[in-house]
Amino acid sequence: MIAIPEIAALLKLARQPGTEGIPAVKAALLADTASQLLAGALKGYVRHLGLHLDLFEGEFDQIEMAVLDPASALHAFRPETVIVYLAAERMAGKFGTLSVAERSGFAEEFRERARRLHEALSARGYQTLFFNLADPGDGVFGNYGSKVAWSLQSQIRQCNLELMRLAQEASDFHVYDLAALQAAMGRAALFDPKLYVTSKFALTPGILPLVARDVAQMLAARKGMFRKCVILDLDNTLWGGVVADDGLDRIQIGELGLGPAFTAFQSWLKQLRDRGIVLAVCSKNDDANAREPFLKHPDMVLRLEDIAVFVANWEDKANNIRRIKSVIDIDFGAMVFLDDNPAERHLVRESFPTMTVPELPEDPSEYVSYLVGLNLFETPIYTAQDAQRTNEYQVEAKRHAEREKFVDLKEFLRSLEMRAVVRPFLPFNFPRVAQLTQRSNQFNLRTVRYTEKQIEFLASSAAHATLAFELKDRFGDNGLISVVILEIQEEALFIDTWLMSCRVLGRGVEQLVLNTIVEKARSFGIKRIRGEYLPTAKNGMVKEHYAKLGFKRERENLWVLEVSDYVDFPVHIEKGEVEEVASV
Amino acid sequence: MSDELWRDLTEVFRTSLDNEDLTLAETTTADDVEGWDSITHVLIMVAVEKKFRVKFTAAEIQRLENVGQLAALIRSKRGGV
Repeated sequence: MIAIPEIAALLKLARQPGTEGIPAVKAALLADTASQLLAGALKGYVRHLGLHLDLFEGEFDQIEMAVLDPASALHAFRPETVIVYLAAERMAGKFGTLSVAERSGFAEEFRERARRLHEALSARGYQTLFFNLADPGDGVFGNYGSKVAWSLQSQIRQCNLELMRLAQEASDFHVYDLAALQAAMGRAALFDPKLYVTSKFALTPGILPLVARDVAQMLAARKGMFRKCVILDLDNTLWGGVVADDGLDRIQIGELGLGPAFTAFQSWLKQLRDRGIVLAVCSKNDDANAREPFLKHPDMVLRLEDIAVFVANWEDKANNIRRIKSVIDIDFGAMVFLDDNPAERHLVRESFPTMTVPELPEDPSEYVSYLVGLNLFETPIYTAQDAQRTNEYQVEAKRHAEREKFVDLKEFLRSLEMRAVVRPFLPFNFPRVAQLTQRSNQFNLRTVRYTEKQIEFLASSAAHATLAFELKDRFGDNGLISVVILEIQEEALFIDTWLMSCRVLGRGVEQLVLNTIVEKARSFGIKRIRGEYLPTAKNGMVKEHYAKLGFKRERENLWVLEVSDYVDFPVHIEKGEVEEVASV
Repeated sequence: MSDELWRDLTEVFRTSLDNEDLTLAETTTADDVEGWDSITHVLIMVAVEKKFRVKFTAAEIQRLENVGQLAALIRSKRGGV
């Protein structure tokens, strides 16, 4: 997953037949330069990620026509995402033909163009993915250009700021940071003037695999494919040296030896943690030795509260990773394993083929730049609650420990003192609900992904009933743990979406949710509830979900429950229903 | 024409066009080869530049008429090997 295929290999992958049964991404690519190679590279990379890209390729330089004409082939295609790539080189090429006044207003005009396109695409429910501008440089003012508002330099950078602003305002407007790629790889890697002059290619074949990797990961993230967890080794990974041998005072962190490299690495990990990436420790050490630096070393950036699950013992790492998974329940495919020891990396790669195991450079001073270059952490959405995730998993680890004390499951469940709050979708939970539909892969019956806009629509739809479940217990708040979308059909209530956080499995939440669905059906006077299971590569665990809850099989994967026969499941969760948000 | 140059050039064409059976003659043009279009032409040119460590001008890319001319151009840029 980490090695990047070359352009020829990507184009070959793009042509590979046998796309049936592979989850598809539907997108359109609109550009004002020749985009055939970019299209091929994108298709190839999406296939490389295990998905299939159904791509609509717009006519060369016909972006507005495609977007603004309601009868265009683009709209007949109905993409989920429209990728717009306006090349800076096109703009630079005509900049000199504009008057000075026009040059001053260039970025503003660009913003309006982007805004118009976005509005039209958004109105149809498409996501917009805009490439920002790779500054071609002009040398007209030298470095004085920063002081002049109408210089190309000022205007191009202004354009990128405007795109960023749009992205921060609208949840369905996304920016692909081509400028950052150019900053990292250099202008010559990105742009070859003779290819532009002879063939209208604004990106070199050499850079396309990198562009394709990042854009493909953005598209895949919208399908729930993105990384959520980093598992860390300690000695010579998080700090220099071996704490058990060298002693707390002699490990390299802070200013000692190569300390600055490890401080920078920890600081980067801390930022990941703060945006919701779960950090876990998996170390061959005595537990007390392993924890000591986190507790006592003044220069450690990461502290114990930053680590969701901490496993330090002398067992093999594959077993310990399984233990970590039992607490955080994230797919192995969404985990990244960072360890300086090639033998451990090999073992983990062999044990978990879908896991991302980067070949960390031998020199720790290169850790951060190497990992940043891999761009491992695309995400389709971020909410402020994401930072709470570590804490939620720490609480979960405590629950695990508690459970081991009880022989009787019912006893244990009672001891948790669980309280559920059931709400319809409301503005305050739209982002979290949308995010959960995009993140959940395992306990997800139909795996329908919803955007915030669509969630907002469902909340007000008379043909739907929506349920959002939150769960608290004596250890803390589990937050939003289950989402149900019910479609009111003529003679049945159809369960369009039923997903649940795997963390609360085995606690009677499924039964509580079904009790609530049946209540809804009764309140609508509907006699039948129909559920469907749509198999994916990841949701095998809920294949028999409806059978377990007493539904009768109607057809393959289609299940029905007669409301009149239903007797509420006993649950150990106290329930409160709330129609509106309580004012805080 | 050195055999080595011809062999390397054929290899570049085969990789760029994803066709392992491709053979080239001095007189081969884009019209003779399946998949050699204006798009893959760019791939071929870039791959040739990389393989033979030469650099073409825009005019040279546009002017080339057949594989023989391309080989001659490579040779002249490499100092007539």
